[in-house]
Amino acid sequence: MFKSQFKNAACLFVISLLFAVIGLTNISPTFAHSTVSPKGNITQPVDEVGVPTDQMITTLKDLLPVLQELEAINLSFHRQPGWVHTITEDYSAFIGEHDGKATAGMFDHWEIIDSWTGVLDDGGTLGLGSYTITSTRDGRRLQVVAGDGFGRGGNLTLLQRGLQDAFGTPEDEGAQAWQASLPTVITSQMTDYIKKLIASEKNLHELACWTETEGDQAVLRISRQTRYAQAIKFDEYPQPVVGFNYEDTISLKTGDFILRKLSSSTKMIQKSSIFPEN
Amino acid sequence: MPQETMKSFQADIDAAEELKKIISDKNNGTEYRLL
Repeated sequence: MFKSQFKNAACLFVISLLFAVIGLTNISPTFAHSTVSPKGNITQPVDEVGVPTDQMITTLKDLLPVLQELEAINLSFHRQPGWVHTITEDYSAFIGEHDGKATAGMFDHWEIIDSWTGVLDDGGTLGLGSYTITSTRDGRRLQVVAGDGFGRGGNLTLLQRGLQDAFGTPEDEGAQAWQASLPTVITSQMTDYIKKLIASEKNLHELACWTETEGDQAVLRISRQTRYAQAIKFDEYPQPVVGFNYEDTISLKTGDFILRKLSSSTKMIQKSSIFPEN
Repeated sequence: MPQETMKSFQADIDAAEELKKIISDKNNGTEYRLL
């Protein structure tokens, strides 16, 4: 525990140092606000965040070292023996058309995703199994996936609906390939986030990142806007899209995302905790 | 994991195993390994 606290403190120090070294320009983000305001259980909506501090990061080059520190903090947090419990409240404006189909009732605009992931050791080795229940906000089960460390269980929802071949049959995929595709260690959402930021760098139009306090915790806020050279038509949107506004909030203590928002179409509020194995 | 959650976890695993067996029997013993 002390070692973990020390690591977190050291990382926070590095992050503070980076912010101190990086420019002191006072730029207010000018991203478009959402036209839809999904009701969420958040104490401080991102759209209403006040003027940021005078220490702001505005380039990906300066942001990446900060995110890499947070990735290390996040891996340290999640790679503890026991169960990682994550509750995610997810809003999506677009869930597809499922009426009359076998997938009817499997999705909702607002979903609560209650997820448990078993971790065996400090290296984040998986092996206790995982349990994910996706429900509506009033508690109706939409999807259940439960599997232990011995290969028992599976996607209960697909099985109940006769959709067990939806993701391929064992004949499609050899046993070895299937085994190799299974994750063996717990990963960090930050790893994918960093990869996606780098991959979308050419479309990055504006970026603003700063720290602030939300409730009793220090957070990193990242607002960014991507723009395409030409408008792109996505199935989810009635009109061609010229770009997206993203707003993300990350805990500086754990490196977890606590809020992610994509324009007015998706929003995710998340909280993770660790239950040590007795 | 709290006891109540563990019970629910085990029950859902058992339910999935039962369905896998039924489906497998219907499909000449095809084994289903779903994530």
